[in-house]
Amino acid sequence: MTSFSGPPDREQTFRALYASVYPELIRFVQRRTSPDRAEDIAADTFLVVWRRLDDLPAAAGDARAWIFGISRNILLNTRRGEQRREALGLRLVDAFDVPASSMDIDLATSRIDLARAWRRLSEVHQEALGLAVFEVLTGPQAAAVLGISPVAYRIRLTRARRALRLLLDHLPASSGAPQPVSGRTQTS
Amino acid sequence: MIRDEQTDMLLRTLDPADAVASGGSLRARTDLERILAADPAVGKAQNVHPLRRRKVGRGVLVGAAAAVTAGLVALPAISGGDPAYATWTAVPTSLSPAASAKAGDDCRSSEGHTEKDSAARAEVAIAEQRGAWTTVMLAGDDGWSAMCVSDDSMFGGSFGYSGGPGGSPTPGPRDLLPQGMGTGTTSAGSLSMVAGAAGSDVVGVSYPSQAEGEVTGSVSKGQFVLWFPGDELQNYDTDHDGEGVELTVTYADGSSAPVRVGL
Repeated sequence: MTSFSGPPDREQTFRALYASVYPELIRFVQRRTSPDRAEDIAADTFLVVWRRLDDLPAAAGDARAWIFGISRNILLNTRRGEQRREALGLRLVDAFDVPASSMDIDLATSRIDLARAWRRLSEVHQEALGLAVFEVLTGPQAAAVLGISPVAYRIRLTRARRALRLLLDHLPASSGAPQPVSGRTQTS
Repeated sequence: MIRDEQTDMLLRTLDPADAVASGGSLRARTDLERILAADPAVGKAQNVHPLRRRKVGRGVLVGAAAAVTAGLVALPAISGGDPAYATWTAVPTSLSPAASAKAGDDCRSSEGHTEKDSAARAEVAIAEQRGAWTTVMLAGDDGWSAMCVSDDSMFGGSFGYSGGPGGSPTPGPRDLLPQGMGTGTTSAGSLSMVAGAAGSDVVGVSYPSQAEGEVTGSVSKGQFVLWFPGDELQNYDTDHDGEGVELTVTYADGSSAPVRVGL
């Protein structure tokens, strides 16, 4: 039997890319819009990728960032009924979701404070931080997602971290600090 | 004060994303095949939504007056409309060629279409009448289709969707491929509908509505449409364990069989 191998064709390339990036793209979108729209946005994104496959960056990390950038543009363009924005904020889970009895009280309080501070952070800063923290992109990759220079992204990220620290340091006294669940507290 | 590394760690515990998202899901695999079926040379400068099949009732559908204020509901009575679906019938009748052509023109010119060129090129596949309600299905290039429902009233009594999957996917000869499914609203209230492409052997379709009894749809020129008053199909995707809704399909050889459909 003779077999031949050569450069992967367009469809093979796309199938491999789809398989490797789809889960991460779904999570990228879920963080930035209603979760029930994630699959629609992912489909729209990959349709654009399919049509622009010739522009795909060669390095895997850069390709991933390029796809995130396409998805970001789609999300920004499809926000209906809202004033068009220049940045995509990220939502976080409700910090109260984890019962206080199941974790360290200080840790639970920190999560709640962080969630409160995050909500006060601008979308521009949420976006800059999110790409570094959740997508774990390098500076140049995050800059590519946002369509700005790596230097501009570095400055933006620095400002975002500073803004978050300031918010954490100046939060009003929390009324939502978790209390131990008395019914589950062991007594001796 | 906590350090950046601690902040990052804490933020990751608040991540709302689904940790087990997979490219192997049915939806992911279906989308992949649809994308590959799309002509990669088309649409580089177009919008990026031809893939999205319309899930009715989630804000995607557009109607000439789908969002009519309550104060206008009484107006159709003086303009020939049907404010309560009172004239709606479970079995449709066909329109005359002239009425069909006019209904097609009205549907093409609906302000709801975002793809005006596709609408202009589309042909009338189905034109049916249910009491005061006229329904038109337009079929165009690349699987593009549009549905318009109207009671011909001056205000409010209209509803519709348009769009297409791209790539001209065709159902198997004995299958249905819905493009729109769910619920929408006219000034007469909610309606439930399912519409899309029908296989070459399909000649009829019906649905056993809990509220309206057996509803007979229309099938013609590779399209089908079925709708009835009420919001019975609002949660069709969760009400049936995600398996869609069961329609009864009649084939050209006279046989019939249940077919599950969903988006």
